[in-house]
Formats: sequence, structure tokens, C-alpha cells
Amino acid sequence: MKKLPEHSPKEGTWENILRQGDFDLQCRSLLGNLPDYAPRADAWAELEKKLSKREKPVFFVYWKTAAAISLVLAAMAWLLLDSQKMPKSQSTGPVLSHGAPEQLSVPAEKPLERAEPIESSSTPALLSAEAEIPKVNPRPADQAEEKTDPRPEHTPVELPERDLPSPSLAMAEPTIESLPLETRDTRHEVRISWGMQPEKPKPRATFGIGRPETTQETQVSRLDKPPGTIRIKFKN
Amino acid sequence: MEKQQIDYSLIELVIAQDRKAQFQLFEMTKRMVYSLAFRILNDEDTAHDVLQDTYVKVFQEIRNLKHPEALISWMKTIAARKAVERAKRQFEFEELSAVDERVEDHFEAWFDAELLDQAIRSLPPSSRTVFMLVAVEGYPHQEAARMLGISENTSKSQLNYARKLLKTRIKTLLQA
Repeated sequence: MKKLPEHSPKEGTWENILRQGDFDLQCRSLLGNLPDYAPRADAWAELEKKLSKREKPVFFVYWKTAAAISLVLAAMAWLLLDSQKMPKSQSTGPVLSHGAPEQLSVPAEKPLERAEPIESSSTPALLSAEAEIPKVNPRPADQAEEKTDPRPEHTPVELPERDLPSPSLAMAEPTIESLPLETRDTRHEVRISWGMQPEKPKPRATFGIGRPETTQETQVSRLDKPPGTIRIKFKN
Repeated sequence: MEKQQIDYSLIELVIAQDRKAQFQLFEMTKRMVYSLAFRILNDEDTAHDVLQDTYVKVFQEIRNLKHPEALISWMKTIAARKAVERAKRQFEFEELSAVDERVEDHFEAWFDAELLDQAIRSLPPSSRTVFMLVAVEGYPHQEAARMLGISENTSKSQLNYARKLLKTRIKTLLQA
């Protein structure tokens, strides 16, 4: 070793060493080798829980969606069945149509024939004529009704026709004019004003200069009269 | 290092939601992700939350990754964004109007990576985040500013402020 020749470094080596001591250069070289930090040991277990939790909702979302769709379908089916049942129940009643009036069936007249004798059965004159009325064979449907109806049997009775005053559709004339008006001479005159005061003097708009009496009256009337009151003045 | 070990077959398995492959990828990259989050946030619990959020997103979105060779940088970006989201809740950036630009050019001190890491962690949150994004992770000021919701000038001033503080902190640590 002692016999080997010595070599001197290049010029500027010391400057290079000093330059490497520069802050930015040191940072650049060290930033890539910063120490690593390890997470906790149970980090994967926690992450796995999160992952499994995130996987489950996908199934639950589909399950809930399917349940919601089935509920909606069931509700729609129920509504459809209900709407199909409705016309059957309404078919017993009269069917309205826009056809000619002569084509319209009038099923409501039959009950009237039966209803009238029931109302008139209480009259004594009609009870006496009960024997003259021939018996009518009841229909099978009526027989069934008779079996279930515990009330006493009422036979239809023909009633004498009565002349009922036919109501006119014309507008009745006003009868107020025909009423006798009593006119009495009084010394008092009554005036009713609904918040209207035609005789109220208007205040002048001459920058606050006005008649003191008028202003006072206006103020008093404003104070005394709330809106919507009836003011009655008696004049002799 | 991790880039060489992660092969395409592992990525394919992760895409197929294979739990073992996911665990393998986690074990290979967890220190990198956690260190990045921890340096930005300087809080263990929050960094753990960021770690988990990052991997959940990675495992969900990895099927959309067009370039599997960019997996590591993609994961780093996710982790940085997640950490910045958390960091933004903790502090607000202030416009540094008058940062003393007279930084001492002559820095005659030698320091190692551990000392630098200690100094980085002692920085204020805002300047530390900017330093981590720009100086350590290599984001341009424009992108870092966009991530943090600040202007580009604020990002630059925060970086200068961080460098100045780092010098003084390192000197203080060396003298101690």
C-alpha cells in the first residue's frame, strides 16, 4: 500500500461535496427514501368487514326492489279485480245512455205501483174495497221474498185517482209588490250608511293648514267608527 | 418495488373480487398507502380510515382501470385524494401574503431521511399537505391546487413556506 502512488482528486471536488449539502439536493435524494409506516395489524380485518358489508346491500337492494315490485303488482291486480266487480253490482240499476228517450227503460215505475198501496192502506175507505180486488199470483221471486218477510201481507189496492195540482215550471212572479205596505207619517228620518259618508268634508291639502273643525271631525269619526259598522243618523 | 411484484394475473384476480388476491395486494401496498395518508394527516386513526376507504374504492373501481401498469400511481392518487378530503375538514388554507423569501441558500448541514420525515410531520397542516403533494408525490401546482380547492399561487406560497420551515426545523433538530 505504501508503495502505490497517490492520486489527487479533480478540482472542484470540495465544491461538489458542499453543493450536495444543499438543502434541495438533499431533499430530492431523501424524499424517495422516507421511512414507511405500517398500519395496525387488524387493518385487514376491519377492511374485510367493510367489504363484506358493502357486498351484502347489493343483495338486499335487489331483494327489497323485488318485494316492492311484487307489492305494486299485487295492489294493481287487486284494483283490477275490484274494478271488474264494480260493473256487476251496478248492472242491477238503470243504465244511462245517450240514445233516444223512447229507448230508455224506466224500471223505477214498478216499485211505485207497489209503494202506493202501502201508503194508502191506512185509509179506511180503501180497506172496505179490499174484497173486490182479485188476488194476483205472486212471482217466484216474490214468493221467496214472502218467505223471508215476517211482516203481514199487503195486497195491492187500486186507489181512486186524485186530481193533484200539477206544479208549473214557470217562474213565480214576485209577490213583494202585492204585499200591502204600511206608510206612516213620522217625524224621524232614518238613514243607513254602510261605511259611506257622502257628506264628510274632505281635508284640504294645503300642507297641514286646514279648518280645525273639519280635521277634528275627521279624526273623531275615524276613531269612533271602526270599519264595517252601521251608522244611523236621526234627523228631526 | 411493488410495481415489479404486482403482475397482471393478480390484478385479474382482484378484479374478479377474489378475497385472497385482494389480501395479497393489500399486504403489498398497505405501507405505501398508509404512509402517504399518515404524512398528510399526521393522525393514526384518520390515516386508518383513509386506508380503508382507499382499498374499498380500489377493489370496487379496479375493473375500470384501463392501464393495469399504472395501478400503484392510481392507488396513490386515490389515497391522496381521500386524505386531502379528510384534511380539508381539519384546516383551512390561508393566503400567505408575505412569505419571507430570504431563504438561506447556504445550508451546511447533513441530515437523513428520518430527520426529514420528522421535520415534515412537524409542519403546519396546510403547508405539509402542499409539500407532500408537490414535493414528495410530484403533483404539479395546478393539480394540487385543484385537489385542495385553493389557487395556484397559494399552493406555491405554501410550498415555499414549507421549505423555509423545514430548513429551520431540521437545523433545530440537528442542534438538539
